[in-house]
Amino acid sequence: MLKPKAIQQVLKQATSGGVRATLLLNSEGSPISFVAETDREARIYAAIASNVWTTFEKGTKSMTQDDGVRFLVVECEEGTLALTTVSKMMLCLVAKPEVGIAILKAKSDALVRHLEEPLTNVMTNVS
Amino acid sequence: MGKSGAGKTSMRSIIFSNYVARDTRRLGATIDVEHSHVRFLGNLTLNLWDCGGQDAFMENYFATHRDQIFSNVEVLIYVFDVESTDIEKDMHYYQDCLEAILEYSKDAKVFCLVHKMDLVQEGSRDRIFNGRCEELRERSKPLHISAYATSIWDETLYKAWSSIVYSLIPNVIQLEERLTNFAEICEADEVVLFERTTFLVISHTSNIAHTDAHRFEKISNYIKQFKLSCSKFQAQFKSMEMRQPNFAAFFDVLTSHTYVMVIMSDTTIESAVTQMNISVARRYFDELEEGLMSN
Amino acid sequence: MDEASDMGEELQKYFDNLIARIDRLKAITMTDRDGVVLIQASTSGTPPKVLEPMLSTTFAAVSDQASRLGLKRNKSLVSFFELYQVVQFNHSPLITTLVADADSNTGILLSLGDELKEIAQLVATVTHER
Repeated sequence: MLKPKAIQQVLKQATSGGVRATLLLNSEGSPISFVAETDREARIYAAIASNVWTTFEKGTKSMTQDDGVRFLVVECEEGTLALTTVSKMMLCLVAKPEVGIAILKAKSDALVRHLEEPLTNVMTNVS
Repeated sequence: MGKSGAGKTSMRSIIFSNYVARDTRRLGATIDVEHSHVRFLGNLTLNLWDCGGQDAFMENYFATHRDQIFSNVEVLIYVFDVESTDIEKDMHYYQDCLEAILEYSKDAKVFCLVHKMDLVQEGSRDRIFNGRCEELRERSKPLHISAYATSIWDETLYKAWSSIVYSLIPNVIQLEERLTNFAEICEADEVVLFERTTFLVISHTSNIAHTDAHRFEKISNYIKQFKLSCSKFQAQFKSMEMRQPNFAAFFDVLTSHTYVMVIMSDTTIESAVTQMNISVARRYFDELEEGLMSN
Repeated sequence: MDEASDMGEELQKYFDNLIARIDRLKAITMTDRDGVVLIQASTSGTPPKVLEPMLSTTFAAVSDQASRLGLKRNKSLVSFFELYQVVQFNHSPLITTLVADADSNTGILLSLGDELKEIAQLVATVTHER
């Protein structure tokens, strides 16, 4: 099972140094947990992030022979979105424009390492 | 058991056959014994013998079918009509019944339901019920009894039946432990387990105090009514979520025989996590049900 | 007409040079939002599907969605696969796509954005006139 507070604690640690919001979404795009300035903003990020990922994944499915896209960075004028999956769930970081891709990738990788095992345990037991 | 017209069949219909209180007016008198059984948490079967209460049948039970009816009884549920005009006769039959129980199933638990309490003026209900209770305890010796004031029109019926069912579940302690464990992990304030068809409360765990002692029975009643309204539209009730400013409540199917209600007062916890946790808990509680079957 | 074809040749030369100049860059395309290729250059090792219109049209859809995040207009998208990385720019009305090896330097690829933006504008004007 997932401990809501423990997950939020992990997300909180990543939300620093220019990262404004960190979200964990289920496969339908609903937030499992998030750290953000406002609830409203988090729900917008969640909805669009899952849409972006699904659209891109579908569009590039047969393009390469591997498992498909692993990491996405969406750069906008006032901020950058970094997306990846961890055990059928989606991880989403929103950062200020000055935060580089390398930092976003490192933070995202660290979160995946932390969350992978507990999330996989849960996902295999979901009926 | 109980005298003719006491309300045994009405009660059974509401709890076990999805009747609403006003439908019970259509029920006729029970002829002889109606046997029905309800499956509960796996293979725990509740055998209900709804025994017609007219004098002729009552005499018959005690005379000819004595061993058949009174052997292997886990619980005796005796229904008294609070408005009865002949209390002495009621007591006489009740004591005959207890004698038979002592003879054939001496470990049976005895529940006395003082029924039709809605007909008594509200102010005097407690006094009358306490009086009856006292008399019943006295007359039941050496057996210990549990007595409840009931009415088909409010939650008291669920309260009484929940206690009856609770006393019948063999691994109730284990069930409660699992429920508490589940509540702790998903950070819930309260988790309540309902039997799936009757919505009787089987077990619960809570870490905050509530002022309304009857809230479970009220919830049982409301959800069951809601489920019945759903079925009128050919829709099967499966789950629901209610969000209030200071708490969120989730109802969902847990195992093949139970529903669960989870109350979360930390509204910053997302619905998706709680739903996922309920989903994960299914396996954990299924195991317990399976355990019951192998016992 | 002549002037346009001269320009076409020059742009092609610029793209070919870019591929030669940037280490591990495999392909570069400039398309409209429907995925119609206006100009492209690629090395022999490029997987053919990468050059199909789908990659550009997918980016067009994603870019529109991303512009609704509340972070103003979407500028670019970087996607990482096992063997490749793809950098795509929203050079409205055109889309510029760079395909490179997974381990090539993303920063360098992104820094080409401004330079390529001017070229995209040029291509857009020319194709519009035609």
